[in-house]
Amino acid sequence: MNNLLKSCLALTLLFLFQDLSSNEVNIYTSRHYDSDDLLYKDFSNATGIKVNIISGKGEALIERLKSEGSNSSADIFLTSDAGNLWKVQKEGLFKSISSEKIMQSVPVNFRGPNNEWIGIAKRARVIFYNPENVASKDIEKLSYEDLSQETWKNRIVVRSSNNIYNQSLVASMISNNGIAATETWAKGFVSNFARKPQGNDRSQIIAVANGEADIAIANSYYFGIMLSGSAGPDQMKAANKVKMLFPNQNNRGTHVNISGAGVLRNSKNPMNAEAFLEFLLSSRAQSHIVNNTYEYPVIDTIPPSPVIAQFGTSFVEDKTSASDFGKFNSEAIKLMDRVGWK
Amino acid sequence: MMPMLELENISHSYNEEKAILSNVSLKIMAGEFISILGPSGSGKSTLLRIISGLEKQTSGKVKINNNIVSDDNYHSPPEKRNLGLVVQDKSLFPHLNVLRNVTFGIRGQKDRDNIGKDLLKLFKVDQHEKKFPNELSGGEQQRVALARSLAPKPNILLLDEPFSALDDDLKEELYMETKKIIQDKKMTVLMVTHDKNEADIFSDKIIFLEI
Amino acid sequence: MNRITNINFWILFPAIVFVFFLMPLVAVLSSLFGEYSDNWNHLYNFVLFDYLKNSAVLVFGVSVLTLIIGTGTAWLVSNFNFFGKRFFEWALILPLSIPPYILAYTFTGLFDSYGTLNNLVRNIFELEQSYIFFPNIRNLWGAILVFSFTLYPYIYLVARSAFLNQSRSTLESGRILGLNRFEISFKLAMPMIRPAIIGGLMLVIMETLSDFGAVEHFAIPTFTTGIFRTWYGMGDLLTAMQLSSFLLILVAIFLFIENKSRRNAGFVSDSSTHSPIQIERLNSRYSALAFVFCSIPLLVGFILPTSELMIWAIYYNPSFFDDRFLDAALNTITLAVVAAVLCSMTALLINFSVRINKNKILRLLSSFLSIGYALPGLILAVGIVQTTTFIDSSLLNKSSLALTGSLFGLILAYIIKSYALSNNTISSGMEKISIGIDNSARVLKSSGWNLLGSIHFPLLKTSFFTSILLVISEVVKELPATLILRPFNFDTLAVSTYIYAAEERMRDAAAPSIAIILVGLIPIIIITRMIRSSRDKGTM
Repeated sequence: MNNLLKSCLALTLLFLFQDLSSNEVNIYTSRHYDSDDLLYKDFSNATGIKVNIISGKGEALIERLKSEGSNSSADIFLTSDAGNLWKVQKEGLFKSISSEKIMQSVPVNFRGPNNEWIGIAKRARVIFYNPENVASKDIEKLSYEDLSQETWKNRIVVRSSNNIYNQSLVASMISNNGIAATETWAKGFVSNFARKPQGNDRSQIIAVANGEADIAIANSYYFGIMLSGSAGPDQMKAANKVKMLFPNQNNRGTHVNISGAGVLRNSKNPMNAEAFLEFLLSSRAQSHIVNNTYEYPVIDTIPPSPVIAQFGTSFVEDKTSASDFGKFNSEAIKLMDRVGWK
Repeated sequence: MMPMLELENISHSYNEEKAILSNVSLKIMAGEFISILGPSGSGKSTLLRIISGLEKQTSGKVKINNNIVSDDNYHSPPEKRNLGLVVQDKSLFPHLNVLRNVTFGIRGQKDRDNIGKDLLKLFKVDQHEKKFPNELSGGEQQRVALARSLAPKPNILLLDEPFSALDDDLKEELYMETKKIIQDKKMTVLMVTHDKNEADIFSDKIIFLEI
Repeated sequence: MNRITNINFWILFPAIVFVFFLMPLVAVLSSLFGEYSDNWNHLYNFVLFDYLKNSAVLVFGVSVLTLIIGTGTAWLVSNFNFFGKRFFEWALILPLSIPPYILAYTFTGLFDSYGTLNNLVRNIFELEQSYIFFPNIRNLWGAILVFSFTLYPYIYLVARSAFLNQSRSTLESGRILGLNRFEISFKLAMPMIRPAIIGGLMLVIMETLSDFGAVEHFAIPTFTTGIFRTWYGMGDLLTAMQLSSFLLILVAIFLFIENKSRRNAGFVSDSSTHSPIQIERLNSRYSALAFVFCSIPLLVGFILPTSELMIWAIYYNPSFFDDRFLDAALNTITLAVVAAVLCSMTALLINFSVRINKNKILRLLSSFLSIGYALPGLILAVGIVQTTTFIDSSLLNKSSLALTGSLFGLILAYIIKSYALSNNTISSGMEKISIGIDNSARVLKSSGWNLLGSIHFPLLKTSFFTSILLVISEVVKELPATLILRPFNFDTLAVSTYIYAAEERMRDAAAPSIAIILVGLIPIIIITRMIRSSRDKGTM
């Protein structure tokens, strides 16, 4: 039994310790779209580089990166919210991207300061409404700020303040309107909720489709996913009952956020990392993204999917710097706590 | 001639209570069979435990074959003392068959099985070789226990009321066989019992232990 | 000589294990001596009281409900014969196989505005899409229901055992004194089993406070979600650790009460005058009532969720065996087996060490290691992350090996959490080995590793195996620590359900949920066997 014990122990120890060297790229991603798996496979097939994924909420991954420090084996941080990119940059965890090709592919307003991160896709946080319950004159020229008014009492649904998309929206409002004004707005906004925040973005759209509420705030690409039928017939039916509108067209524009990525400073495979980023910006990958997750592309040459494009592509975009989303994230969370946005 | 076992002023008490043994000294020569007779509570079993090394005495010395195995500074554990021990509840290993039980204490020798089988034959339980302890009667188990204790050829055999759980007629039978085997092998034996008859049959000398 | 090195290992090993258990705790508690950031102002003013209030309401509500359900059903099943009693006796513990977060996910799938049951009602009665029959479940009341219906079996088991062990003569004296059946139960029987029940209740409370998945899904701010939000949302690990310390202290209080009550539980039965209590046959009206009362927890806590999960799995997700699921299942099993074997070995070695050394300090150490089960997985994970990064940056600095990001931290967490389970199983197995066996073996020159390997281990095979099974079922259910500590490419079944539920994809969560419940049934089977055999013997 002695020998058996000892060999078991040895094997287990071997199993436990991580080896930090081989031809691969390690990605920490907070994008939770199944279709991304195909992207990774595509990349591996084309380059022979193995792709290792750890997925989780953006904040969780960031904390993990912080505590791992120089021992981290992560090469790329990929996320669906610019606020997260800012946080990682602030911790000094990114390194500048050296590839000229990458820098040239991405328009300047989708690059992070110091070339430390790039956007790979775009989405808008828009308003959904049911035309049967909402008169078009009421929503003409609607802005986020209008939603705190009494007329919308009991008619609004939005997901929990725990979610980064809402935090970034509020952060952008703080950046533009200041804390005090945003807080006043938020108080009114929260008092108009038709129900306590629950469920994800799609739940809000469905609630509007079913008449449980009249206005929902959600990300544009979910609409594309629902309409395409890839999420099932029920969701497609619900999506067909609602319409999408871009708020704040009269002033600064609709809140726009990006999916983006950067190479981590402690990366052990920086070449493979940049190769992956290049791949994400290739027409093949961009096509895949727009046609599967229905986000807007960052590359001009690729058109967005017709499913989402039908609602307009030349809407006024809020030019607030994505860095501000991260900068005011902490303030946004506290503000939402103060006004009771659960 | 040096004694095989020597106890010098052994005293023992558990947990600061009244001493259960007080200044016990004795000498046993090789080949002798000594019985210790005494009522319950007199510390007979404790004495055996101390000699075997399962218990460390509060004070005093134990010497086996003229080597100090235990005194105030040093205490050699049971596994080092090359003794045999048979207790009342036999304590056969339930997961091993009879032969494995008997050969358990024999280290390393290639013919351990043969040694085991010979002993089983001597004790007339060789036909149960492959059986497990729970399949044997009380008397058979005790024979196996005796065989097991003799297999490693111990210096001294310690017996703690080994026959008290058996019926009278079984006892008689076992007495005769055991005595013969012990004499043939010229074993040094220390037996503890409360049965005077038993002590008479086996021993060269009887020591009385009082409370 | 040899004996010296023997002692060294047997004392060194428990000491090393002790250090590994202690490090995460020290890491978390040491935060209490650090700086208190500005975030505390915000916490104090806006959310801390919410956390306290919600935790208190949860604990109170769950306590009341589990006491009623657990004690009530146990009382019925121990004292009376009625239709279905033999079935309920063991079936009432089935909800234990369902971890609270899975019940939470299933309930939302059932009771949400556009969930199964509401859809059903709308379809049957042809109502408007905006009509919602079942009230919203994603709130404190829903959470109280969820915890109560999965955790009541702890109270049930303890109460039943205590009832069965009660002395008939004590109760009959009550009869002679003129108390009726009802009064006997409430004035005599229940107070007598109180210490045992308190122990079970503490377990229920600790499980409730430790949960993360269910409360997060229901969007209820409690300590665990608060810790998570402070760490990840505000990026403030230190404050999160300080919050964790407070939760730890709270848990320690309940742990202390549980320990004390376990000692006091001894006065319940006086076995010298013990004779089994008389069982009364209920008339048909009361029999029906008893049947209904016992059916409800079984229906709500087990039958309803498992049926729904199976329907989802079959109707909506015919690819039960898709890659993701098989991957997660394989990971889960491997991890669970490794952790279970290591945990059981640790318990075996330490119990053996305590047995051969008879050292009071070792015994205390062993008891201390058992408190791991009370530690919330989330807090353990926080402490372990600190521990592994510390070890990596100090001891393993220049090597290409790293503990952080490997399975080491996760397995350590599992061992700490499951040690009590292993320890109980193995120590009760060891107690059955009489010391005479040890003595004979030692005289026959067997000691240390030889004694362990040739005598103790073969005799403990059943206990060892049972311990492995029990730890496997614990590990498979674990969620928060796994979420935080898992390495690359490594999702477990529990993590899969969490991710799907977070995306509101309940139907996809069905397959891994069912797998978890199946594994969770293992300890139920073991306990059921014990219940059945105790019924035949008339005692537990």
